[in-house]
Amino acid sequence: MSLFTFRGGVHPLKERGAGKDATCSKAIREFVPEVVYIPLDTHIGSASTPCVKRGDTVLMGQKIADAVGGIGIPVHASVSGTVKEVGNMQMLRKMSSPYIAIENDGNDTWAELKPMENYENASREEIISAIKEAGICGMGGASFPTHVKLNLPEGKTVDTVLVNGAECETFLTADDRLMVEQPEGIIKGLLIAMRAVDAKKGIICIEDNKPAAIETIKKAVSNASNVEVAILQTKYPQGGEKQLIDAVLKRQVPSGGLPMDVHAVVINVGTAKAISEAVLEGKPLISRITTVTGAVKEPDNLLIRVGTRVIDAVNACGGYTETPGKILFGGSMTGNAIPNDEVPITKANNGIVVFNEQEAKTPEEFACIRCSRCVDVCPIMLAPYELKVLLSKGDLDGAKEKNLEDCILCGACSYICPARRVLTPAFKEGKDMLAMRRKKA
Amino acid sequence: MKLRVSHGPHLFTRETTQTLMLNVLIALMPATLVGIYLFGTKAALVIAVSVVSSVLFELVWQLLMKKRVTVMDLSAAVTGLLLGLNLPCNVPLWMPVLGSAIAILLVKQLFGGLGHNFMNPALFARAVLLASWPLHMTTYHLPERLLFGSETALSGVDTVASATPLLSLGKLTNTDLLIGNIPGSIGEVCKVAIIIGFVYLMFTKTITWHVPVTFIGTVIIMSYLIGVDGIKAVLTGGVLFGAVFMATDYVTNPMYRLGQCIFGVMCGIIVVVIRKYGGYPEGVTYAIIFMNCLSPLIDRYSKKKIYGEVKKSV
Repeated sequence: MSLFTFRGGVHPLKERGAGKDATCSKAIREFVPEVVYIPLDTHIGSASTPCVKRGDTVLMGQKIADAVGGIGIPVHASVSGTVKEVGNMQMLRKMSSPYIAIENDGNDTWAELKPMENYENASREEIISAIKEAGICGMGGASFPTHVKLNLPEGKTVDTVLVNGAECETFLTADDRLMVEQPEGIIKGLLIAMRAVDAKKGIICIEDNKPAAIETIKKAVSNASNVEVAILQTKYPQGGEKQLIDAVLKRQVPSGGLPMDVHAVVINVGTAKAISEAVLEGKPLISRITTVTGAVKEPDNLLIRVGTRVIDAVNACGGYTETPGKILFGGSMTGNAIPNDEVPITKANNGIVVFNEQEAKTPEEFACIRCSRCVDVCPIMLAPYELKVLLSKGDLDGAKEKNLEDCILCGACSYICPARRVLTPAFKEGKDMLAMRRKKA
Repeated sequence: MKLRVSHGPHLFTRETTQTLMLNVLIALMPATLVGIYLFGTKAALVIAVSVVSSVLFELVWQLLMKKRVTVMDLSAAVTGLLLGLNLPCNVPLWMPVLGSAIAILLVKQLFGGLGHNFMNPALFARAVLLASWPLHMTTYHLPERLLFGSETALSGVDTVASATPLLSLGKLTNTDLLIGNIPGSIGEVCKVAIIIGFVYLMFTKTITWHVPVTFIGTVIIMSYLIGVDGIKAVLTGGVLFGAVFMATDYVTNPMYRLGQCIFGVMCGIIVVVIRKYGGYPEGVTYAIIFMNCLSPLIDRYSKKKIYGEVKKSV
């Protein structure tokens, strides 16, 4: 059988140590820290406003910060206990991010949960509102609020919901384990999402390097007539939203458009699971599965509370094997490097990857030898070498002309470049500058 | 704790400019060794002088200009080796030195160093030497030793005063042509060695098939079209060496695979046209450097259609 795939792409999994072997057969294990530091602004959209203060007693799942603005999401307590602190610290993207620290009383006492009695008869609005109230954002890494994604504007229709179980990133096995261990939750979440956007069909997409996940999901969907499984070729960035839609549906999202423009919505497997818990059990998003791997003693897949500090998660896996040089939130292609190991994990954090000092070194950049590799691998068919020349000259308009804004920042060009040209970081900077300019205008 | 913060990707392929250049050097080894076997110590000397002077010119230039010294990327060594293999064994030794100066200083460094030259440095140097000292460049000695045998159709002749014996085509067997028992430039005579190098470059994914296959294919087809034995046309002269090692130079051929096919076909056509109608008996050098100049133009018209290019309907 031919596998679904897209044009371009690379195979970073073959690099030494970057494969998934360390954790792919590690069953999900729960870990609960003594204190959680729950971040309030790590989703896309405005930071949530705290609605508890120091000294308050909170229950697990109780709302501790309100959503702000149309694409904001509320934040919930991930443990039961006492609010220790409402403050700011350096986190992912910003020097100062608000957080709420809660001292865990160890009881995991749930707040009152309001499951939806019968989602099949609920309206689209009711489902979307339940998803928003549960504080769900994209759990594959982008952290875009899910209720916004599912709330189609007037005139837009969706016929297919894709569940992204490609997990094409290096190192990570969190989605893989979720599919193997909890297929029912994913499928129920998919059915709810289909109902929310009124889609006729759902497809769960999995790369062919996860045979166990494919088998379990296939078995689990056998009695859902409108849900299929698509097996994808293992290739990076197969899990990119645009690449997935192209591969499975043979549709291309128009430049500057959204998946809904081609009648598709893509959600991560973790997000699907969170949707089913939110709607069927009334549980807000307070925990997720995260792969902890790299230079740690016992790499593992942890069911982990939002707000757990990296250092606590690492210690739960036996601690560091050597002095860490770089720690990533996510895999090594698109992961974010964090400033220190006190940073708490977010709702979108599918992995903690620890590099030793050797692996953390940034390679020296050499001259472009025009080897064509970057244009071969770009999944958007851009000319990275040319964009880089334009951007180093400061020609932002020229780069815009050559479709810089279509770049998905997957990192394939930087990965493959034998001269180690700093491509993706330059494109990120260029895209940010263009976005800023647009905002000002 | 001090952690390094940088934007992704945080992982890179093992391949570097240096490993790619090393692959090319390795791929050239069979041709080099057979060349030295056939033409003896004077061939070894020409090659050694060429490589050493290329590397030294680059090193000295970078030191004098206070630039980062990048001779360890091996690109200068590749240029030097290619130049040496493209010379007849009996040239005076100042010629590889002068050729290296032209290749490294004039063609490569003056235009901005590696990646910025618009023509293949080694080939342009060869073209200058060929135009300036045609007698030295086209006097070919018969190999000192022969591979697998002692007689060829040309035995008894000391030198052949024309570029590779295209003129005496009829007398040579394909076997002689394949294993290199013919006069010619040091590296281009033994086709088997070149083919081994080609296989190595393909196997290590250093190059793709696009340029060599379209180039050679076009020469075969075009030759038959004008009534010449296409196989002999490829087994004589520098077509094979040029298509595998010179036209595949990353810097000077097009960036897109479609463009590379156009490039290869055009190279093939020009070679056959020069051979048939030109004043020179061989045209590989000129065909490739001419097409090098057209690469930017080919790039402009062979771009790929980008994902989702249809603009969003407003």
